Amino acid sequence: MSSLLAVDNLEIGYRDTDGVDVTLLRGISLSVARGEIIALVGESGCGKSVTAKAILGVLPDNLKAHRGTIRYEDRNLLELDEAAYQAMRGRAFTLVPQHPLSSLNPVFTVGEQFFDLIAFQGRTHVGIIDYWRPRLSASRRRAIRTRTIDALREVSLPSPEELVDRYPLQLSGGQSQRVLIAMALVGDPQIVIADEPGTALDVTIEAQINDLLLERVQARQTSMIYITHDLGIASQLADRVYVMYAGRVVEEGPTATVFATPRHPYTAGLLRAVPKVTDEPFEGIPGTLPDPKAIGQGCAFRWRCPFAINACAESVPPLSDVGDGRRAACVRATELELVA
Amino acid sequence: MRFIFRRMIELAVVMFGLSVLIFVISRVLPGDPVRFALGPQATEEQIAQLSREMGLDQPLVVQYWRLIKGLFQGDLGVSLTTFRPIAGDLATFLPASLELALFSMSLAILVGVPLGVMTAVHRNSSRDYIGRAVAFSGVAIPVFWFALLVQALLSFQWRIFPPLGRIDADVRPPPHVTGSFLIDSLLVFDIGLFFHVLSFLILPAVVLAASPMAMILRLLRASMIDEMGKDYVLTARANGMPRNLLIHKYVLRNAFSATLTIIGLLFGFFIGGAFIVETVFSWPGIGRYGVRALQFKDFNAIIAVTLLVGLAYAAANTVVAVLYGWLDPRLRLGRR
Amino acid sequence: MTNDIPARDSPIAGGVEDGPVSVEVPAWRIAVATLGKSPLSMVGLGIVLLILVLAIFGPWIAPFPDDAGATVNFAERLQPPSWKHWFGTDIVGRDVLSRVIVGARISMMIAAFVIVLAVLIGVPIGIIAAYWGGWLGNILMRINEVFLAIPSLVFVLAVAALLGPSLPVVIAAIALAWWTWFARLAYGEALHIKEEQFVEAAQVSGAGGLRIAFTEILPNLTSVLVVKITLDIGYVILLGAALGFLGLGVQPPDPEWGIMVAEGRDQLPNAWWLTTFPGLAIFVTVIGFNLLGDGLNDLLGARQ
Repeated sequence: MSSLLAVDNLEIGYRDTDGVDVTLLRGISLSVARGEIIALVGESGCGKSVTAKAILGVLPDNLKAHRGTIRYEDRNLLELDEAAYQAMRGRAFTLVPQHPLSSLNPVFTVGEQFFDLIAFQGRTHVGIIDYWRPRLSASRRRAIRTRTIDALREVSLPSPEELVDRYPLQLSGGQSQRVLIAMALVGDPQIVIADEPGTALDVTIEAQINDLLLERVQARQTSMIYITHDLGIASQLADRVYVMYAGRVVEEGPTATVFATPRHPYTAGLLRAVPKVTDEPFEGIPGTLPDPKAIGQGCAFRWRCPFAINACAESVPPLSDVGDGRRAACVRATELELVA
Repeated sequence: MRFIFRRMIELAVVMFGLSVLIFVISRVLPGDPVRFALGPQATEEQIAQLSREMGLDQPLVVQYWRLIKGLFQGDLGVSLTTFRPIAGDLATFLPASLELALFSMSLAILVGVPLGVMTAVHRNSSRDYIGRAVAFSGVAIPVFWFALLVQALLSFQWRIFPPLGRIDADVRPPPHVTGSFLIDSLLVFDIGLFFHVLSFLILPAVVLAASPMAMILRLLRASMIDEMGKDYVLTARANGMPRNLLIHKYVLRNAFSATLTIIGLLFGFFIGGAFIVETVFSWPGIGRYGVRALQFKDFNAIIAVTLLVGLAYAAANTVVAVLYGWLDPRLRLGRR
Repeated sequence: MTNDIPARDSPIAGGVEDGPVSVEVPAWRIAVATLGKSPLSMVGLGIVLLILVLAIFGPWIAPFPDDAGATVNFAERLQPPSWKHWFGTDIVGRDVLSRVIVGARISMMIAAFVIVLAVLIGVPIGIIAAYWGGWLGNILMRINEVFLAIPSLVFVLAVAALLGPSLPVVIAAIALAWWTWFARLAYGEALHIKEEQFVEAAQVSGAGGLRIAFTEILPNLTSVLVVKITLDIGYVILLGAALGFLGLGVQPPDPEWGIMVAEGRDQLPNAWWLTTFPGLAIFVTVIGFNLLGDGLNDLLGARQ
């Protein structure tokens, strides 16, 4: 399978107010094939969302990519000018956001927001004449409205004809997220980047949203990068999984194998932290993510790792092949017997 | 509609309170208006007679009742300095004030809004710093000082604009239609006259606009920056919404409703500023009339002007509230 | 997508093998360091300190302290700025610089008294209205609205004119207009704070209403109040000067900045120094308080 999108050794950081350079992504590599679903898994703060923003080209101004490439088909996105990049947003890749209730503009109707997206998606600038042209043409207006209603119907929203004229505050969280999924899909994208799309919703709605996403993506043969801290969801959705810790991928491979026999102590720890239906005692990973300024030379997980040895502080273990099509970044990856 | 009705009731209550407040301050506090009006040479009989004529010898409640009754009949009493009916004076001076205020307000909005957007979009660039310096100066500059400096330089020194008044004494004003010399001169297609009255209007309008413009700039910049950090902006960007559309339509609309909530205050500065600007530029409006009434302790005129100003302020704020409800569906749809 | 960028003040690492260790830094030191990093706030602080020094020690600093009063020296009238008279002299030969320096005291005195009065009246009223609510709160806030129904300048002008202009009247008139802002601020904040847990906790523990209002709510108001007071000092100075300019404030021969601008008016544009320097003094002072207030706002607002 040739990859549609490949991130290679991407490093992203910012300079803080004291002039110290802080690195958030410390050499991330990942790839998505056409029609493939991958999951980025990790605690909040590990760099999942920064990775997503980097791919979409919407990093905050102070964050800069120092090294690496993001290759889409055969173009390096980091070298594109804004116009070329903008032309790809919504078509090559698109975003389903984390907080549905605040991700729609509160003062315009759903239809109005779809209108501008359908009429002008991917353009860098809309002049006044351009802006009014589709609005003044009855046929164009009708066509866009029909397309909006179709898009809303595709995400199983009831009575989409009424919904177009509603304001976002009249929608529930689940409805808003469906609208946002419809918006993300309206440009017929190649890759959907879903950033914890269900976290802000309650559990049953979250499950519905995930089912919907999976169904829509598979029906269209669209690839998806699904970001989550929840291993359970990742295992249900993804073909392959990338486990991230402190700005690095620490383990990657086919979802089933990674979760059955983790090779990195962090993955094992995360798996143990998933609440199970059985009576087994619930275990979290003790400690928190380290300050990115303080990681220094060695493995970033060494402070929380029950298996840490002196070698862990000496150098960063590279992400290396550990068999079964998997890679792990741990010096003891092959010797440890980890229990999930 | 119910909203507007409720606003009207609130307004009536507040205006009633204001009339009591001003009445109490003017009648209960020390200082005899009649004695002051007649001057130090007046005899006791003259003072007593005028007091009787004005009804000032009656109990306070009766005096207040007469004031309110007069208000509803459009009778605001007689000026204690000119002995002319105040209602007539106000009607004469009001159009000039309205013209200055509306022209100046448009100026403040037309300059302040684009500058607010520009400084927010180009945050921390040199343009932003210049814009913010202008805003800081505009808020801190004493209006009367700014007015005098502008007048001294542009009128007296370089003679670019006429220094005082609304129109040259030997020029006939346009026929009275709207009361605005600008509009009325255009209505009779007198372009020369239009530019003539415009040249008188420009300086006071610019001086009066400075501080509200600066406030609009600051408020809008802050709320634009606030809005640009919100989730919907990120999502729209990631989905390929054109940047200029996103900023000038989606973000600005939200930021503007946030700014509107505080814009009512701005009218206060505006009216206060008009008192000073009209005085410095001898603009024949309510402000100058009011300052004169104040300087000559013309009690009846002071009460009338104060109530008129309160009414104008309240009306402006009502317009803002209605506009806000119209701009923001969150209010219109009855949720917070 | 918000949590990925670590906070700027995240814990600082100790020794590498000990793992990341957080170090407690006292809040005030962070505050000073942060304010120090913003050059504009420092400029504001510098201006404010300078004005305070002038207000306190003005008569000892001014080169011709006697000129602050009603002296005349026709031999030196209307002299342009020179080494002897940096800001020139006025129409009766008084040194403008000296008058500007001594005038700082009048402006600061007006501002200080007004703010103290306004806070003392407004804050308790706001807290009481918010805490007790009901009909009492309703009436208090309605009264507040009546005072807000008219622009401050017009109200203050009317009161000052009716009472007869003088320094105490100016202070009283402005304070009468100004308390409403503090009442409003305290009302809003107190309503907000009232909902928070610790007040409920205090109620459960049996503390009386007044005690809760002033021991629990008031301390939480301080940072908002500090910012508001700093900004308002500037605006009160502006208002006081406008009154002086219109002849409805402090009366001559006091060297009030607004009066000085008005006195120089007839000499424009030739004797430009008469109006320019006193006006500049107002302008710079207000900017100073504004810059400092904004700096404090960023500082205290960010910590909440």
